[in-house]
Amino acid sequence: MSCDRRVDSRLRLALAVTASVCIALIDHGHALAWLLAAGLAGCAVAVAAGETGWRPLARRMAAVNAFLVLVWLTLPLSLTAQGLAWSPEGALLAAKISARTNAIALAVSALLAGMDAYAVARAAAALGLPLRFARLMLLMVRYVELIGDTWARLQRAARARGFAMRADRRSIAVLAQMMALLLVHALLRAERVELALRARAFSGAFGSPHPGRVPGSHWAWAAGTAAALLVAVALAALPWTAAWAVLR
Amino acid sequence: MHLAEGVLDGPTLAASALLAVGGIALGLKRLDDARLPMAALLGAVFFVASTVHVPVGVGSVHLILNGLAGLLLGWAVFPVIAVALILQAALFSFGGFAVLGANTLLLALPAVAAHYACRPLLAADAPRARLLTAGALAGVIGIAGAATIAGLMLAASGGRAFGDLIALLAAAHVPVMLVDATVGALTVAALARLMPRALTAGTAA
Repeated sequence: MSCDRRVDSRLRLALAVTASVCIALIDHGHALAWLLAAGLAGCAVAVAAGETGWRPLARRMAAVNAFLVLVWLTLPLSLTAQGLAWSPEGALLAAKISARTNAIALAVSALLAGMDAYAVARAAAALGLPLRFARLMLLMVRYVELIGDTWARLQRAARARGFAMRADRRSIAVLAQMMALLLVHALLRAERVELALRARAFSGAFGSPHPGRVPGSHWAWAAGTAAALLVAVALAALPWTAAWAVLR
Repeated sequence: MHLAEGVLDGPTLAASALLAVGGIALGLKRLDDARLPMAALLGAVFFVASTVHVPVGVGSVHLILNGLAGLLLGWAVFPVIAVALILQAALFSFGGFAVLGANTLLLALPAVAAHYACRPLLAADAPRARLLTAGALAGVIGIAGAATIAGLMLAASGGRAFGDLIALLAAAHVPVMLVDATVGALTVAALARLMPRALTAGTAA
């Protein structure tokens, strides 16, 4: 799973979605181990190519694993009259869930490394999403940046007045006031956008984008990446792995 | 609130994706092109709000405000939440692509419920108590509904094995619900004071 910036972002996003769905459906231990290794290798390539760094990757994986803490607290452990009881079946289930979660996160991190929100939105729009949905996505990406800037300004203004978020009623009241201001700002901007569209003789419907063709050489790269994924699927279905499972 | 990748089984993922697609289609049908910028801007506000952390006890919770989003956007909240989740999955690996339908459904369906339950309470000249009730109720429906749907999905995927996980997940969302309900209530009351038409702008024809 290389992360070459030259590869078409549509292919990268399509592969990330395909990989996520395929891995989510795999339950075989060997296949999941292979996918974890492949995901790690893909991330190593992404880091080596300068698409991402180990630190942001580690932060991302730590966030992904936060939910798994709940899984490990509840599946292998249960409270009985004799105290805490350990369940091997629960531990196996938790291990498989953890492997799937991490394999998917590694694959997506490797495949989409270096793509920003605009690239993701453009790629998603070009992958055949309904036009209105694609337009909504492109607009939201743009506005998240704008609203994020506005939020940062509001926070700076609040801090300049000595505000610090605490677990008290006043903090919640100030936060709600800032949220309301943010919504007002967004709605006023929406009204200005609507006026600007009308001023440009907006007919009530946006035109269709023309995403262009994916270069032929990029399809070969995509086929190679997809083949790596198919190895995992095959691994789960091979007779020797089934026999191994029976022997165990 | 996100369910992580790799937890739900295939049939649950497929069923929730189908339902989410239905909700998104309905939301897009009710969202004409002229109102796309409005929906995108409100969506951006809720996306940014989800990055805000509020200290609770020794830890912190982040705002979700899906109930408030549903209150203001109606069915359009489905595509707006789906877009936010796609971006979060791609950029931060929060949630994921395979579980996108499930996460969209568990956040957006209670948001639509909040819209129908609380919208009749909203009016620019409504008493402050009623506005506070509408905002708080939207927060409660949004988070309690999301936790309930997440629990149902986990139960459908893992049966009794996920019993403790469902209980722990529900308990973890009690402080989130309290914060969302309080912030939602005060935000609605502030909006009515600052810009009364904002309360109906998101779903105006």
